[in-house]
Amino acid sequence: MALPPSNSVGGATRTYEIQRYSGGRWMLDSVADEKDMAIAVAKSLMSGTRGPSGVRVMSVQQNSNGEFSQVTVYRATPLDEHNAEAVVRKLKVQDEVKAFREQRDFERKHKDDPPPPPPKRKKGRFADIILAVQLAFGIGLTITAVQMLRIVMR
Amino acid sequence: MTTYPGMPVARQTEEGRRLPNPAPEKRLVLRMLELWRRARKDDPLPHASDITVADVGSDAEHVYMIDVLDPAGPRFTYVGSALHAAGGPPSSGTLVAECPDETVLTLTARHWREIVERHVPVTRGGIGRHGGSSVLYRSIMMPLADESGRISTLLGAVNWRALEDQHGTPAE
Repeated sequence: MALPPSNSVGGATRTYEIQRYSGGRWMLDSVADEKDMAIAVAKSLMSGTRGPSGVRVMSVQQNSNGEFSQVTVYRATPLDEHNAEAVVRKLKVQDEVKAFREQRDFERKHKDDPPPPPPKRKKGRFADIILAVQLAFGIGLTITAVQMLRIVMR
Repeated sequence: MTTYPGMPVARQTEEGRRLPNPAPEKRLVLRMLELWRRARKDDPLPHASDITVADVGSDAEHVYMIDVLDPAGPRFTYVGSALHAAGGPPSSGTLVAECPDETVLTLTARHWREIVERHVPVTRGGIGRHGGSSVLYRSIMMPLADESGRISTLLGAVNWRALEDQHGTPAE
């Protein structure tokens, strides 16, 4: 479309053409001078009550020597939306499989390990007292026996 | 994101899923474009008789219409009150060529020929002068056809905000 584009960028001029897919071909719907506005228009076109089967935004640049170049900067079709949903589903399934594998590997790894030893029972304070009494009683008995032996030896 | 009182806020369910916002489009350009598309139906262009100023509701003060078939040249047939108030003349009946400089109306209406040649709506925006101040504006012009399918009228809309007013109404 050889019309003077709207926006001038460093000697070249650029416009954004919003195109709709209708009747088996792309048709010009509207023109914007800013990319964000063009994409907003394309989205509104796609979500409208009589939305086409596809929309795209073409950045059209005309150089000072008259040459044209154009590139698609946005595209949306039901197929694109379907593909995007499929990618999301695929990533979700991959995450679930990965989590399952990690759980399974963890369980396998620790399956053959010996069971951990039972924790040692801590002796209570009462046991320490009994032991002290036993020691004292034993020492006293020994001293008594030594004294009796000394008396007998005299 | 800029918000303003009364601006609709996207809702969420208890599970956090976003619900579609039922509120009307807040951007003037997209509202006008949707109106134009609805009037077009299955025709290449909407008929001039299918859209009147009354159809644009509260946006009427930011709207203008141009008769491009006037023998004297493109002529305003309607100029919204906001465009009157801020820029003084023109009023209905003024030729586009006589539109005073440094108004948003001139910034947008002077490109009328592009819409006639492309046969599609064109949006424009940027920084310009309006009423003695620097403004950031956004506009749209859309073609309307007569009974023979020839473009007879252009429907335009523009809004703006002063660049100094960072907390004012957001430019749409």
